Amino acid sequence: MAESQIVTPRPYARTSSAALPLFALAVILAALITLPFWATGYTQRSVLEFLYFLALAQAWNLMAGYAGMMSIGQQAFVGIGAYGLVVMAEDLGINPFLTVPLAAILAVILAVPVSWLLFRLKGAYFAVATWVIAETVRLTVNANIDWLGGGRGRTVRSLGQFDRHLREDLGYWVALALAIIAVFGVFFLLRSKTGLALQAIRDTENGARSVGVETRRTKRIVYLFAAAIAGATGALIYIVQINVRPDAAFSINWAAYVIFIVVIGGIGTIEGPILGTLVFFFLRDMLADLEAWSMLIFGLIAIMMMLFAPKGLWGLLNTHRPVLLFRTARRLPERFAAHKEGE
Amino acid sequence: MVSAVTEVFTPLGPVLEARALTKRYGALTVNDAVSFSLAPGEALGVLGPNGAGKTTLLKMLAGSTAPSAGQVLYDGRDMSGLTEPARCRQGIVRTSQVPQPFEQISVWENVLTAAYHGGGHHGDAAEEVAYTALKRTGLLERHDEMAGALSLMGRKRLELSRALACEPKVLLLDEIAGGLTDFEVHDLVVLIQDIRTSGVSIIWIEHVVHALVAVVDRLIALDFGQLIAEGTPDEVMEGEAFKRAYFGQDAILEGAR
Ligand SMILES: Nc1ncnc2c1ncn2[C@@H]1O[C@H](COP(=O)(O)OP(=O)(O)OP(=O)(O)O)[C@@H](O)[C@H]1O
Ligand SMILES: [Mg+2]
Repeated sequence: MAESQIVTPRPYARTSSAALPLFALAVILAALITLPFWATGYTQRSVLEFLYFLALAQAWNLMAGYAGMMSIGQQAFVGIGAYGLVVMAEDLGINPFLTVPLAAILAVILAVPVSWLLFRLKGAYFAVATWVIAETVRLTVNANIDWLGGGRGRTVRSLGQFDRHLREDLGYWVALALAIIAVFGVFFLLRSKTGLALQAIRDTENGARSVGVETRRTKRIVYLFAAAIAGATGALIYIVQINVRPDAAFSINWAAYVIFIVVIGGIGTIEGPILGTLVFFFLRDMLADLEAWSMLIFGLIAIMMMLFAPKGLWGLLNTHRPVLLFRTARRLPERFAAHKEGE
Repeated sequence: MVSAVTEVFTPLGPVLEARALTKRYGALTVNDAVSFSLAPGEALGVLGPNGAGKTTLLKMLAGSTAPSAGQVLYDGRDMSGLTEPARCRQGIVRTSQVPQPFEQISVWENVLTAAYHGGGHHGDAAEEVAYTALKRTGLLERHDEMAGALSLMGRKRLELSRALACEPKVLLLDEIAGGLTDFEVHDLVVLIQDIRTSGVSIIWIEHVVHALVAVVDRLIALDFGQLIAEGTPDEVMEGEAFKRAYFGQDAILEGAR
């Protein structure tokens, strides 16, 4: 009877199309890995910046888009990563490139106690608290800690040991590794047991708790993951920029741009932040002459997007011609479907 | 202490027990010292007019809301310190009166989430459990649909499928038959009887009385947060207090005429 209708695929679930995105992905990855050998220095620096914004955007999207934690204070961890680089490379003599993963660990260690505080709050209170904490850290570093150079910051002199091209190439590959870890980390997380929990939390937190999901623990995992990515990004950014100043390292722009990227691209998907980062770079180039006004325009675009296309550009594209680069959906295993049909 | 020990060693002690459960919202007392117990394998029905406090009572049992006073005992153990997800994994599972589907993932993924987390299974075992749950509720053929696209009937079945995938020992059902056709209610009654036969203890809130009495051994009735009657379905529904609560003073007077 109804048994024969068992396989009712969702509209986009054409399995044969899976090979194409995979091929495209391989080509893109190969191009990115070899980029320092064929691209100009300008292109390489732009792509590097693209890569770390992508990493930040993926992490923020996981945290806000799935776990519902609207942090506007991720710059705290970017800054901590930046100063982690300064202290580890300058004062402890650690290889600057090695400080990138260490900065991630440092950010996680500091994020744990912060999460105890933050997780008592919800919604807007949570958001404001993340910002207050980030500002507090910035002001503290700015005014009170001579060792970190106060408002003028410090320079990572030990980077002088590397030839400029070598430093830029290594920095580029670290950025690529970071972006790959962020994108595929999110992808594999979403396909796991924890990923289902996250998607359940996104849709209804009460419902998730009623089927045994430890919502707090799941959220904490995501919060710490986002802190790790931001910390590593902070160290990476200043391997490229060399001078670490508190106002720049702890700038709210790190949060603002990333939120813009995710909102424009499409919150709650992996593809959205990728598209959003592309659009952000395109727009930033176009609006470069407007300086301070460009922030206003970014803000207006983001607000229009939230009002009229809350699922972002990816959401708009995906309704008309469904393509999925990252298939995170879990489907009824073949063994059950076959079992039903073979009767 | 002594009582705790005897409870552990009494095989037929209650599986779930409410002791003077009280819930207040400011000046409003929604549940007032409600006590009852549920025997292993028993099906207990809960009746009461709208706003009587039935849902609140079930939420306190499941740990989704904390009582203002009183205790919940499960297999003789005090559940006060346990959160809702922890109780769910231990076997106290509640379906919500207003279904809570995970709208942007598929029916299959909804139930799989429950099998992983509530059921505590990994890998293939979780998939087995999710598959069995969907098959039992008749929702299997819609496994690939987004949960947000389901009708009310579908959502209610999904709620039940997810609860089953948590492998409950005590199943708390909140108006799972509300809004269904007679035909659908009949199927549901058969299913709940089947769940019960498999050894699950059940507490079922339902306004569809004929469905309820087809399944339960015993009824309790609530009115304004108080337990006003307890006993077999006949005893409860023939009782004065129950009639007054349900049909009002007029019905009693009319009956007397
Ligand atoms: N979070 C809350 N805050 C304040 N009052 C509440 C809250 N939750 C429930 N109430 C009140 O408690 C009373 C009992 O609600 P409850 O949902 O338990 O009733 P019910 O018996 O399940 O009713 P129904 O048959 O309509 O589902 C109602 O008056 C309701 O307004
Ligand atoms: Mg209710």
